[in-house]
Amino acid sequence: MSTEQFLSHLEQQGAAKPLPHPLLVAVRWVVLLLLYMLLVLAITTIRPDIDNKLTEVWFVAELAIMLATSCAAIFSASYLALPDCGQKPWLRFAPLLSITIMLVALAFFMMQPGAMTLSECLRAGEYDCIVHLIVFSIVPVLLLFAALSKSAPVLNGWAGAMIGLAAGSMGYTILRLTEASDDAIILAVWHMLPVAVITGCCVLIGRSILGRWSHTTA
Amino acid sequence: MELPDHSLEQLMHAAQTGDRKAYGRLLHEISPLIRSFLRRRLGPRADNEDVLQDVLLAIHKASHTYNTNRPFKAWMFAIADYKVKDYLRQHYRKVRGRQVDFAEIENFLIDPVTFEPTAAELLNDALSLLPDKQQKIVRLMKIEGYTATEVAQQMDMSESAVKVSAHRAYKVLKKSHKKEAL
Repeated sequence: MSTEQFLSHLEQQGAAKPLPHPLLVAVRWVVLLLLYMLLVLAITTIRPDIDNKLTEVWFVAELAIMLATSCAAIFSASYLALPDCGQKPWLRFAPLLSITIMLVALAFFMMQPGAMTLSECLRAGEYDCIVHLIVFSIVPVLLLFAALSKSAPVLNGWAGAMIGLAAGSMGYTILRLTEASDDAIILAVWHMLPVAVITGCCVLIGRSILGRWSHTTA
Repeated sequence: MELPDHSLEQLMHAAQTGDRKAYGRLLHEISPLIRSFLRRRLGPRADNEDVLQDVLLAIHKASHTYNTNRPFKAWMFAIADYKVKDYLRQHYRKVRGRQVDFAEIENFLIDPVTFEPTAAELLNDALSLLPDKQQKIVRLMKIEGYTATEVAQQMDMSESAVKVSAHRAYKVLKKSHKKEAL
């Protein structure tokens, strides 16, 4: 087919209607995921000491930081869904600040005298935390990948990473509201490490499926 | 006349509201821009028109991701750049697939390039096409330098018979040489 014929063919199909502004898309995704979180909390057992925990500044700050990470990652993913996301390169690092604060805080608490050691933590073997975190994250991962695959991302690995981080952080938050483990090292090994693994897996998934640009105009 | 940049945004806006003529005009306006972008990135290649069609198809598929608040050219060239990288990745993957280990290179060559026959071997091959009698006459006359009379005496033949036999042998050799040259 010659280029002229090809152009006529595309002209007959016409252009698609534009997507809403990425900020609006991000707000919709955040609302959807918060509703999902409320639904999960409604059907699972919340930790018994939640009333006391909600009075602790660090616990509330931890939840706020992880929710902020999730929201920032969603915001970043909504921009990474556009091919010209390179116009604002800082957007792909949006969740970096909150996740760094979280990691520094965990490291600080791990170094406190009397804190649980790594060997004690590994002996505790809280594998159920990993399973729960993956279960809580899987629906957001699927939703966000489904949404992003309808757009046209060019930084597929980054977009996948943002999806993984958004879903993983959401899973972490839900896990903190349902599981009664508060030692910093346990949080780092059995909660934060799975978030990193989910993010890494989503990078690979993003690279393999987001480049297809399957959306077609009618 | 070259259109100002903002007209591309206007054309895309009109196209997104259902104006197919504006969409066709936009595609015609951007094709030369993308063509020159590809020439700069890929050089003058035979398949540049195929890559151009790939880029135009990608722009068409991603048309819903363009919002008229953003510059059109940045959006368009981001897609073109992505498709060029995609093309190069596939191209180099194909090239890598065709690469052969140096140790096994002889298995992939059609002719044994390391073997080149000598002049003597070529002559022997050519002479082997002749009957024994003609072979002997040619050897004696052309390699060892005897005259037709001397050869006739050695082979107990008449001189004219030797000359006729030699003439026939030369004809056969000439024919076979022409065939090989073709």
